[in-house]
Amino acid sequence: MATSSEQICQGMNCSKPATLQCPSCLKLNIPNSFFCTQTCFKDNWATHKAIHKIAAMANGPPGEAGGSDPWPGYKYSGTLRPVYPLSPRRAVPENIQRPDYAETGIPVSEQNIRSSSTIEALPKEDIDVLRKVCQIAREVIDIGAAAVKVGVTTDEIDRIIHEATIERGGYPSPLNYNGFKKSCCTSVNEVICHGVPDMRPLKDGDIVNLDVTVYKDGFHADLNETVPVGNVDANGLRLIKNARECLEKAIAMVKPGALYRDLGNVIEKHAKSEGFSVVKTYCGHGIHRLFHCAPNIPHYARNKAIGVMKVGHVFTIEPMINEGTWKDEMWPDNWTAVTQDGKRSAQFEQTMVVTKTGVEILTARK
Amino acid sequence: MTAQDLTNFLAWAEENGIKWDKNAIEVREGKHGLGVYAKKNLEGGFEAIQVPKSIVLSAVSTGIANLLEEENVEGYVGLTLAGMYEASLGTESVWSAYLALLANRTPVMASDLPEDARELMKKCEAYADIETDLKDMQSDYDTIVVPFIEKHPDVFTEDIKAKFFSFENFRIMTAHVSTRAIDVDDFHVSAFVPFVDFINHSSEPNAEHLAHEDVCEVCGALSCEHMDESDESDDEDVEEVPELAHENKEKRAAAKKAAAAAKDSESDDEEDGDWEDEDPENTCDIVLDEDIKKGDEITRNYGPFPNKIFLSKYGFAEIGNPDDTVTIQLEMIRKAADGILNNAALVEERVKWFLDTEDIFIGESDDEDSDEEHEGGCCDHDHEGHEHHDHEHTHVAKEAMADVDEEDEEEDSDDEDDFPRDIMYMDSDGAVDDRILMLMNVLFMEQEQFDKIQESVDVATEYFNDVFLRRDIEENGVEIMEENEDGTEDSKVELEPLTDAARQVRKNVLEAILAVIRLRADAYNVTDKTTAEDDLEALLNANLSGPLFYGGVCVQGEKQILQSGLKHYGDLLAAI
Repeated sequence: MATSSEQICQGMNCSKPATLQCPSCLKLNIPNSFFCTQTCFKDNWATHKAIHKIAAMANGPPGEAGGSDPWPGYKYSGTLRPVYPLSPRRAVPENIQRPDYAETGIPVSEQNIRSSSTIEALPKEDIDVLRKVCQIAREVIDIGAAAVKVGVTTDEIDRIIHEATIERGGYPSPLNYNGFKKSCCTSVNEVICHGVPDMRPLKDGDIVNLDVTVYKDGFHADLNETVPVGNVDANGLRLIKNARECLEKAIAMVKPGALYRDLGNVIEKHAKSEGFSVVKTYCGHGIHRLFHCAPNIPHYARNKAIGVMKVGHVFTIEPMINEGTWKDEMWPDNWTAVTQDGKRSAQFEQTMVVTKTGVEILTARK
Repeated sequence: MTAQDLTNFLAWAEENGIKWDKNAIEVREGKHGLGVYAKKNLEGGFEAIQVPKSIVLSAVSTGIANLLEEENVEGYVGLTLAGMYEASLGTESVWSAYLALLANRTPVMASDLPEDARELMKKCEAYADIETDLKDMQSDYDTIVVPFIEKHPDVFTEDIKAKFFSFENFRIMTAHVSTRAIDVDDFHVSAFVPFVDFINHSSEPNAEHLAHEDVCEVCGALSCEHMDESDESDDEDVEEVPELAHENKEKRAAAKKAAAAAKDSESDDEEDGDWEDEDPENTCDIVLDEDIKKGDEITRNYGPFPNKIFLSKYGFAEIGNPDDTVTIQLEMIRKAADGILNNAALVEERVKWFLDTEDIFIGESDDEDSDEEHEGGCCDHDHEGHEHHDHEHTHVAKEAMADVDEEDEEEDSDDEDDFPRDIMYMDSDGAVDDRILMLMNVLFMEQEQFDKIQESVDVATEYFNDVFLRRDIEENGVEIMEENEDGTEDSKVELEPLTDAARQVRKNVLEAILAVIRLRADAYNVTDKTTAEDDLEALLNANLSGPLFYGGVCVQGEKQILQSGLKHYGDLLAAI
């Protein structure tokens, strides 16, 4: 192919000069992905995106343990690799109530909110329903956590969590939420959150976070925990312990009249006291009929989150605590968030409701 | 000589991503309190200050945003409560350094003047505005602020209430809001914009405030899923298309990343401040309009306000303000016309026709505005991919429009399409506005003429055009050129001499205008022979300061307008 100093738009029937490139192609080191404008790019997206899959199938060196690395050429921040292919989408029985995005992938009701500062206070009847869903989520994560051991793939954990969820009449909220392909998130080592369960077997010394959300009777219940796999080094265990304590300290602040933005101060203080850092990109969130809604709850200090807690507010706190830098980056799957320095990240999460006297942790182990 | 609170503020500003070149500009105390000054010669187009919207304090960014939203407390009271709440948190507030700076610089408002001082302004329109402000403030406090605070005892404990939420606290924060709040965008609406609000007003400004107004009303972002939704909701199988990237931008990011990785973890903290600035274009900017010299103060125009608004809203007034006005109530016109015509029914009929019909003749410019707004509307989704200079163009275009909008809103009061129909104005040179001139002609035209213009919009338009043409040529001495039909050189428009009947109409119109002006002028003992100019000199020599001085400027300005009006229309009447 001839080279030319002037790049030409790759859009169908378009030969305008172009300087902008497809970001996925740049990540995957696919050359010449030039487009003249965002509009042209958008029009050609449906056909263009196939290139990314072809590149994935064309497959360079295999990833660890025999599977395949879907993004050859992508520069990983740490040693963890995705192991594809992913298992097929798991089925949810027809009789189980589905959230609005289950088919389309688009959480329309979340996008239709009128104001980002409105924080709904749930009446007692709603809390009663939510409490039951939260206890189901607790059961499910405990079942998932019990299955964690050396040699088990995260896909297998996903199957166990998926089945435990539907057995209890729930829909696994992550499934097809904004296109997420699995029923829970499994975040190993340097993965901060939103790890996609795949064919990689867990190794001795890994730490893995299981993030479970169950949708039932119209409500979502969300919690996560980080568990050690086999023999984890002292620092890894210290990181896990610190993350758990960060969550506990933040929860202890929850009461009517408290500011959401103050939670981050306590979390960051505790993380820093042991030399750890706090992830800034991902936040705790309101949760009830919507999977994610107001309030937005950053975990870092001096944040500018809005909102005062009131009785009936339901939300999660889920600090992600890192061994090294707080900075994150995203794998080309547009889900998996990893630390920029490849060091480990641990996280704990509970769903809770503000009560007259303080807080009730709805997803707590009873 | 920089005060400690200013030093603290500047450190805070830097931590929070506010950008300014310390070698180019400085903040210091000047004639009008804090101001921003050039430290060297700067060129037009220079971006003097950039404030990320993440650090703007508004009713939607304060910690109590959800409570304000639930109770529907918006507007200036919402922002005032936001400011009071954040101030009550002391150093715990995200905005503590900014609010501490304000606390030491409470603006002196006209409404702070003792009653006897305010009485001195009694004849002036500003007086009523100030008295209304005072009454509104008390009633807003009693009916909105107090119930709001009582409703949230978890947030506003007895101790906090007594210390930070008294009427006096409310009055002071209201003064800050009144003098500082800036319209930011569709999300924040009116807000405190730290640093940008140090820029003082000038009628001949050298800079302007630019901010994307067209942001998501739900979350404030330039583009987000709330905004995209309307475009895509019909599409099945929608997939988000990523933003195109500049290769070198990516490379730069990669290089930066590599550099960051090389550094030790200490450096992480340094970058904390910038972190929330992920939407780098979503800022409030002060951009120079023209070249300025070292030592010059950077100023912007707060709006084409008459002095009474400047006084009640900002606590100052401008001598010789070109946007100053004297208000004429429709009732005054009715009264003056009836005095000449002695026919209340006719006056009523014609006033009614004018009010019902006038939009046809003055509505056109509004249409142009909305057209342009579509063109100027930026913030489409290809924001980040653009070359920077492209971006700036849209920025400016949009802002130019925003200015026009603001003007309309201010003059026409609350409603965009509507304005108080019974309020008309005399301009700063003493001339009556277009509406008064049109209405006066409608009132005094012969019945036959009135029948004709009622029948045909074209006839009416032509009639009013002629009225305005005569005003431009006879009163203002403007030379109007017109194209000759045969294609020869343009020639000057010549007015046809008035018929006797038209002369009588003209005479009545002028007499009625004079009568209207006198209704206001008599209260002041202003005639065409008085000397508002002497008053001004006396005022300047009186050694007054603050609102008392500016109140004097208001009074003098009003007298000047009335005096100019009497003289102008008196001369025209004499010439007939």
